[in-house]
Amino acid sequence: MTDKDISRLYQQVVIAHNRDPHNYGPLAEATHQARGYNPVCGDAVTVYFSLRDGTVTAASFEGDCCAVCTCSASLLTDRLTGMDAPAFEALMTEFERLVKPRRTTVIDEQLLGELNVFEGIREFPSRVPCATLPWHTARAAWASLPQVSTE
Amino acid sequence: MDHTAATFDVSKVRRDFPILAEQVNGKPLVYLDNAATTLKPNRVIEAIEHHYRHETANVHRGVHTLSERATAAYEGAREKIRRFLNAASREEILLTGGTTDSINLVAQCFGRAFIGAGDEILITEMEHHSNIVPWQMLCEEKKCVLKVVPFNEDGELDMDAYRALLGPKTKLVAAVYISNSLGTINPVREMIGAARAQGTPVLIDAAQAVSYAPIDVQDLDCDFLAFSGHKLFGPTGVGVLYGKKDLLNRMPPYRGGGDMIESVSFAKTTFNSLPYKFEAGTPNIADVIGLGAAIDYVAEIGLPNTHPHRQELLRYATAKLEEIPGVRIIGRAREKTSVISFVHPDVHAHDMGTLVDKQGVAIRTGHHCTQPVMDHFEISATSRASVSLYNTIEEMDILAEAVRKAIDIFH
Repeated sequence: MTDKDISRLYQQVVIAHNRDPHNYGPLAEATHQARGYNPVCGDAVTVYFSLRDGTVTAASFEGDCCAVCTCSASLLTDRLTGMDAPAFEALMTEFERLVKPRRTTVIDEQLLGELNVFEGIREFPSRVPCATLPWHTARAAWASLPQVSTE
Repeated sequence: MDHTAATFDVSKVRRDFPILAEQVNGKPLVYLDNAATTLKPNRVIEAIEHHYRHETANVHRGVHTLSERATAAYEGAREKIRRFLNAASREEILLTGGTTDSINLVAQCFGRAFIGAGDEILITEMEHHSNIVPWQMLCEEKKCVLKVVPFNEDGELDMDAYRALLGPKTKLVAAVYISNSLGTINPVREMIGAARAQGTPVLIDAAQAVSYAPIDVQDLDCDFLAFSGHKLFGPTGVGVLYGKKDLLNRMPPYRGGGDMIESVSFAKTTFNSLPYKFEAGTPNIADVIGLGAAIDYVAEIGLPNTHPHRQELLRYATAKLEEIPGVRIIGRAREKTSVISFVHPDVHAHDMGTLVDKQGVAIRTGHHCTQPVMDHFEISATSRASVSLYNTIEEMDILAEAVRKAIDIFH
């Protein structure tokens, strides 16, 4: 591996989100939240969002995690607002395909948008869980969705 | 080999470890993850290969030549371990899967038989999870209570608290000799003395200590001592539990099977004598032989001969890292060795680990299986460089430079 691989993983977008993450901190009006924890490395992240009529109206996160995890959570919570559950699942599926070490199929780059910044993480298999932890946490938050959440 | 005090020669020792010639990411390997596992010298690799090539057989039961060879090599390794620890008898040397396995054996066999409701087990705040969780499981089952000796901001045990917590209800003290995340060398002699004075048995987790200093279990007067082969330049999957004979004799076995029995019938089974009572099933023969070779290796080098070099590595690397703005060293005990844990406010440990790896530097990042230590310092993870006898001053410079480069990326 070279410095080029490193700069593909730690792109300026990742460094910037790590320094100044979007949507950081607890969400007072959250209807859904879950805590994600990676016992292997100790990364911990909590994802919050509020849902109205099946659509996310606001999302945030907080946690003690590395730059890769922080940037992933930052971009995820940017995208969550305005999404319903199927839209989230579609995006998460595509994101998981993006970071998968031995990918053979074509990626929907348009759907992923800014998330394409994680394209280089395939070269760092041990760091893939850092990128996917916030997503699994968000999925857990969706799953605890109470039956009475929509009017 | 001629490794005497006057001639301790790092470059010579390095030639004994073939993996040090490895390139990582196009750079020479700088291996600083010795607290996780040590590298293996040729002698260990060759001993394991020799066993499989020339004496593959099961032990203790065959009359054919290969079985006799394998048994002699296997029991020969046990004798080497006995001498290494200066145990009184080979019956006190139980071969296990590693430190974790050894501690679980004490929890299952000693703990379940001799610790009951309301009794206390005393551990320290700097234990590895392997010396916490088996006791929590025992407490859950037996309704006994786990007590924890705290440490101070430098990572030194609070010995006043230790003496205060050690009481008539304490049925076992289980303590780490050298901390894997802080490098603290605990005053185990004093701890054992205080416990023994009131008749409380002591288990010492010597996983990190075993490659640092010679251990004399009779002199220490501990009741149990556990270590792993792979942290002593030996193979993974093999470890040792030393136990005092009278205690081991009183303890019931917990794994039944072949080799641990004297006679079996459906009416009654008689257990084998020590050490076999605790060694059910075909053991890890090749790796035990490999551990014997590792013990030969360290005996020839002489661990005390390596101390000046290792302490210089620790001092130099600590100073180099402290020169870097923002770096904070976690664990500053006066009695300390081999381990430098550090954090930086702008670079998470995982990012640090990935970035220095690209410079060929192998360090460990995370909580190091010591989450209570991380909680104490209110951090989630550290980067940990841990040195061994084959590391060099030049490698400490490479580490410091790699850490600087990593921080630059985030600035």
